[in-house]
Amino acid sequence: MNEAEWRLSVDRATCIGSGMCTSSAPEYFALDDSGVSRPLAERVAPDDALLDAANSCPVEAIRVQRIPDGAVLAPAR
Amino acid sequence: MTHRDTNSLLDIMRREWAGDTYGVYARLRAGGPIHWDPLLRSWIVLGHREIVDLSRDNRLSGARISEFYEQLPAASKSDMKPLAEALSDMMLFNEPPRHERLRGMMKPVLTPRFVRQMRPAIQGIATALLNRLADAGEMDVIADYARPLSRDVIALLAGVPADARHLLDDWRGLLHEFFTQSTAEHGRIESLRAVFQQGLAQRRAGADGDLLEQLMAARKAGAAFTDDEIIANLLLLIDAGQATTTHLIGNAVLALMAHPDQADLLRDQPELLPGAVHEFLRYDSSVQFTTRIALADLEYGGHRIRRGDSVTLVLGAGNRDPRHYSDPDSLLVTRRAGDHLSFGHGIHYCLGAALSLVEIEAAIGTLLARTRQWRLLDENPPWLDSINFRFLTALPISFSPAAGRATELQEVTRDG
Repeated sequence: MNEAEWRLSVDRATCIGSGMCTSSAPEYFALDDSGVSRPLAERVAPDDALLDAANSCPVEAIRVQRIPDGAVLAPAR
Repeated sequence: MTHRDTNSLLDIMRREWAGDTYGVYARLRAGGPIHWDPLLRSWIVLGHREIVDLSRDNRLSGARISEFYEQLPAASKSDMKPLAEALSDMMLFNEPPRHERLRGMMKPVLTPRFVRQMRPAIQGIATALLNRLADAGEMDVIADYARPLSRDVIALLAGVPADARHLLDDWRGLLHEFFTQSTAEHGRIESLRAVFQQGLAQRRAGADGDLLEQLMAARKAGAAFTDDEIIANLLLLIDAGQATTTHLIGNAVLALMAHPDQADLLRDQPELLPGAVHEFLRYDSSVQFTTRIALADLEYGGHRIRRGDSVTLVLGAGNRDPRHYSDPDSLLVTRRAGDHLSFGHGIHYCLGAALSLVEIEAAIGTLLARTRQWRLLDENPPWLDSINFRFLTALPISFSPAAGRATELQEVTRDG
């Protein structure tokens, strides 16, 4: 088990397609054909770019969680 | 009253429709959610769904400064150079990849998290203004409250020192100045440029400081922004963030005066305020449309939009689209209106959205807590002559002070 893994999710109903995540973390997010963001992988190794992406989302539609306990790492409150 | 056979967005400027922006939209809807407006010489898009779709379409571009500039005669070009240079470095008028690079510069100071840290300072500005106003019994909501509040927030964010804040007063939209080929604002832009350049030099020298420091930090982190790019986007912060927010606050007050039951509801349940701010934005945005240029031919909704066509996304009409919102012409602070279009949609979504939400929440929350029994002193408060900007030029009201519950409501507002 890799306890350092993170879980990525995008609330697609909230996403407004600003592309903030795809520009700050292009290896983790893409805009689909309808202009809504989706994570390219759900489980990923820790990377600060993901925290930046989640904290930069103007509608806070991205969530980064630690896998073992589900603690929300970003967006920061 | 006489009407042409053809309806146009420009009808908003006709005297018989003055101030009745939404009445004009209701008439235009008869022509369909998207149609060609021959007088405006642009497609107009009125439907919520259609605005969302087209905002996300990368075949429509927000870059329209250089095209306009290039077609000017040589003499006008040299007159307009300072404005053209400032505008063309603003992220708003750029497309990827440069748009992403410029946006990256401003991003750190406009995230929801950063703006939450600014909340006590913004609340402090609103409280200080009302400490001066609350006993007077009368105020012009625009000149006495909304305008100084949004000016001081922007000054705080852009690092404009107190002795230079007058440079932010009576700001004239730079895009309008540019398209009307006016040089009236050149002096002010030069003065602000000097203020910003001094600010950048101080921070480069290591003076510890305010929020402008964040921009320097971004630069240190390897992003190679030029002084011109930084200054252009500080000007954008003023241009896009100051008057728009002032008049969102003004329009929200006017909306609450037309719906006093909703004002009472917010006084009783201040925890509704964060959601109510979205409804204020939906109900009466200070910016009514945004324009794009088609970069390629495209088919949409049974229409053929040709390369080079102008497409006007009428955000204020989408916000009242009866196919999307029930009873769209009523202000309902309990409505889930978070999907309003007033910040735009897609990659040009307003970077200052989070800031504006906090400003409006602080402004309205504090005003509701400290005053009551609002009455219009002018039954028909004057609107700016514009088809795009729903700006009240004055909103004089009388009111009674309500000191009793002030502290309680402000606490809730701050935590909300």
